[in-house]
Amino acid sequence: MSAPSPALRDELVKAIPSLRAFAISLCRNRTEADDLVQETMIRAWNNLSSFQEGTNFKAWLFTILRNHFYNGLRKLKHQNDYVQTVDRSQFVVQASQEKTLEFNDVMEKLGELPEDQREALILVSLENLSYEDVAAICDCPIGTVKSRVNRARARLEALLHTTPSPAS
Amino acid sequence: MNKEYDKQSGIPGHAAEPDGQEVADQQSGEAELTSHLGMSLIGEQLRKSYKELLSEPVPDRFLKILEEMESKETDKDEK
Repeated sequence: MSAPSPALRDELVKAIPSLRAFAISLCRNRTEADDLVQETMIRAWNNLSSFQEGTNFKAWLFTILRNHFYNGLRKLKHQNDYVQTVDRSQFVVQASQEKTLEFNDVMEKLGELPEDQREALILVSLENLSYEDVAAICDCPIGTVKSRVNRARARLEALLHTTPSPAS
Repeated sequence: MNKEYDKQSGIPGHAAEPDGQEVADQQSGEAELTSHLGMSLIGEQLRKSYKELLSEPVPDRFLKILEEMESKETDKDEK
């Protein structure tokens, strides 16, 4: 295998913050999320030759990360029932050490979404990926992605109204 | 790489215009447009918080891993 092109290496470095954010939203635990990102980087690096030039590199990385989460880590998680509650507090508490109140508030609301809606919302509305790319990442029809995003928005809107936060 | 439209920067070659958001939303259809507007406040909060998350410094471990993998590649190439 020849060395990856410097351009792709740079793309990989640039994608790290997004990979971390997506991993945190999936794992809801920062330590686990960073392990997931590291594993994703190693897998991506070793499989760079299978990346199709001209397609969205970031979307390709998200696919690797998500597959590893659901096929590997997730199965382990199911064996540990307690994890869900521990994760939830870590997600918010660790963040609160250096984050604004609004950040925690938003993360908490995001955490209340069903995970299929949460990932669709993050990838479409925050990462600005196309519906087509997100459908490929989540391995579902484009229409499903659209309806998940719409439901996520509606749900967040409802959460906002039930627990109002300061206007600014 | 950017075969899809980009919601933030618009279509390459088109100058950014003040009402660019509306242009980008045109193809989403009426129902989605309403939903966009409906969640403008939470949408704003989300984007702000997500930016905060993205702006966290990248831990050294990731750059180290990359360097390690690169030096392995160089070793291989030299052999």
